[in-house]
Amino acid sequence: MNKYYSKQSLWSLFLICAFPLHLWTLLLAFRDISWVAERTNFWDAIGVVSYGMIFAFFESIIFFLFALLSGMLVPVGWGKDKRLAIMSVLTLILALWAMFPQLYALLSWNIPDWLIRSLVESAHPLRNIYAIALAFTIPSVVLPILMIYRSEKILRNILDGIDRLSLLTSLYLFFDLIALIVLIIRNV
Amino acid sequence: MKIDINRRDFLKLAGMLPLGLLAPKLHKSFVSQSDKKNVIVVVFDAFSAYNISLYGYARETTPNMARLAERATVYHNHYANSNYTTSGTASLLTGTLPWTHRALMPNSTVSDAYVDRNIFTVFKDHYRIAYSHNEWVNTFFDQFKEHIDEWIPREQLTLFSSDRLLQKAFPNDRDITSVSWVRNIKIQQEGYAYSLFLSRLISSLEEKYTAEYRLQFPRGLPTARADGGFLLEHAVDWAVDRINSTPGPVFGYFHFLPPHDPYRTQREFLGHFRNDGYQSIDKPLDVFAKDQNDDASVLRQYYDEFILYVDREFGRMFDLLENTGQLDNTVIVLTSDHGEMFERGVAGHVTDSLYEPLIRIPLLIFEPGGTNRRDIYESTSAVDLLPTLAHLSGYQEPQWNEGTLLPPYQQPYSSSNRNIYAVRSYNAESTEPLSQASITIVKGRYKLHYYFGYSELEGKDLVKLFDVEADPEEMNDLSQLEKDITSEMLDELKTKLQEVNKPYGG
Repeated sequence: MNKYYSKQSLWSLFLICAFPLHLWTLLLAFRDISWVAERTNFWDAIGVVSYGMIFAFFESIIFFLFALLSGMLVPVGWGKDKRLAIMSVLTLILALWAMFPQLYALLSWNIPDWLIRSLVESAHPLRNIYAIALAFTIPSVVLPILMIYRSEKILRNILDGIDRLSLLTSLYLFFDLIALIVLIIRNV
Repeated sequence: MKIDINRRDFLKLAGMLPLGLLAPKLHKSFVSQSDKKNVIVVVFDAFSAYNISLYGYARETTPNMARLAERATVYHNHYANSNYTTSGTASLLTGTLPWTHRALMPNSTVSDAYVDRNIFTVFKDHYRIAYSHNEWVNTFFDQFKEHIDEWIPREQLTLFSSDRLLQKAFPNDRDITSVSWVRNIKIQQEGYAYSLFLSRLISSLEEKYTAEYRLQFPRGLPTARADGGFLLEHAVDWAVDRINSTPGPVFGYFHFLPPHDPYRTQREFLGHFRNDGYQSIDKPLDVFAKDQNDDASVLRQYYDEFILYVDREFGRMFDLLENTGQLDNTVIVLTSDHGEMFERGVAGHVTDSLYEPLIRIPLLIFEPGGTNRRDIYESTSAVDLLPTLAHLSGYQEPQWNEGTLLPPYQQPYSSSNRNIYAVRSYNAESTEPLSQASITIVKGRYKLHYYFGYSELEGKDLVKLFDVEADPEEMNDLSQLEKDITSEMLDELKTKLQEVNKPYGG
């Protein structure tokens, strides 16, 4: 493991994995608070948020393990910093792609009529849908890797960004701790 | 003191041990030889009498209940004691009003005094079985478990439910654990969930498991949301099987979720009332309405179609029990914990209002060997059920209950001589006086609404009076025309309120 990650980069990678999952949970949970409080009470609403945070923590661990193992596919010669930067960026991109369909439902987006019409009228609609999806996803993965690989400046900027995000995520982990205390109180 | 027990004595004593353990069950078995009847209470959650054709609703929602009613006592003006599950069910189970049992907040428990004073303690010589799809009702079962012989976990009668492990891990917080699990994982309901990745994985596993049932339920499987869905058929078959296979006498309390939302009927009833020309009465927007609900007529249609499913399953349950000869020795009760409303800008029952559709519920009592129909038009209350069932089963009516024997078991009976209350105080602490509440009092033909402490009322009280006999739709507020009646009923209500608040410093 030492040849792939330093202890510091492991911690940073975990925090980067935890960041989008906690952010998303917090956004949706606080969106739900008034609804839950109306149907039950404020303490129960806090309970719902707390369970959400703890769930996000466990999901972060799973996501981190996935990122950790995937990172071993990055050649050893590229170095630990590049590996951390690449895996962090890919982690965030993957989270963005996971948010996208949920945002679609959340914000009631609609696929433009012209796109649906042209897909329906095309000879192979399913094949075209896959082609469109790949046209977006492949560059979103390949381009960041290329940029990090080629540009030392971009690499430094990303590592700076990771440091800042790590600080923010530490705050989220503090929320997890509070959530754990809430859960203990609720279940004693 | 020295006790000498040799090996032979020890073996004799050990041989008696199983007998000792079996003693309570044997006692109930001996009782079964006596004349105690089975008593089966079937509660359908959020079942409004307003939407039941048996009670005059324009859509024919209950053909089976109408068929069976020819052998029942049918109560036409029966009132729940609240407009939502926790308070309404606690009143059913304890025979006391919400301000007495104090289960006021959602998913709260009754006060300690009623842990040993409830319907299960009354039926002490019966084998007591309890089941509920609704987790808030299970909160009460948990409190009363010492007096329930067989409390069936909710998950036993649901399809694949990924929250089972959590239910076990967090037994003291089951409801909120479930709600949270739904918000984290159930992406298919809203299209989004707190979890970005695992929600997809777990939801698709659940969908795969329940796929074979989905064809039968195009609007989705009936669900209490936390579970992966359930079929009322399964619950009915299970209940009948338990009644048939238990030596008896059995007291069964089955609290089934339909027609509570989400209104997901079976394919057979889908679209049954679509474009049927039904026109609901146009009523003014209620002060507690969040906004004008444009979907109310669609939701009403879905609800009515869900009632068809409930009606069919109740009819099937009744027929199954009849075919096995159980009806010769069984009292069956059909009722609900509260109603549902689709008017005045309210759709559902999450409202502080207490209009008729929200609190008028069905009550049918089928006695063994009943062949005649009896219609009771006097107003009656959900708290009356406990003393009446005790009376029908040869138990003494408990002193602590606040109900009265239902007619025709009590003669003469007049609702003009009593006050029938419904109370909602959703944010009230159980140990504090009610400072924000909705209360109705029905006396004879009049119904008084009293609302106080709400921000919507800007610190003022709201009082309305309706003649529910002449104006069952509650369209004409008589509080300004019938000032004497209004003032008399309001005084009575306020005196009662003072009395119930007193122990809590009010």
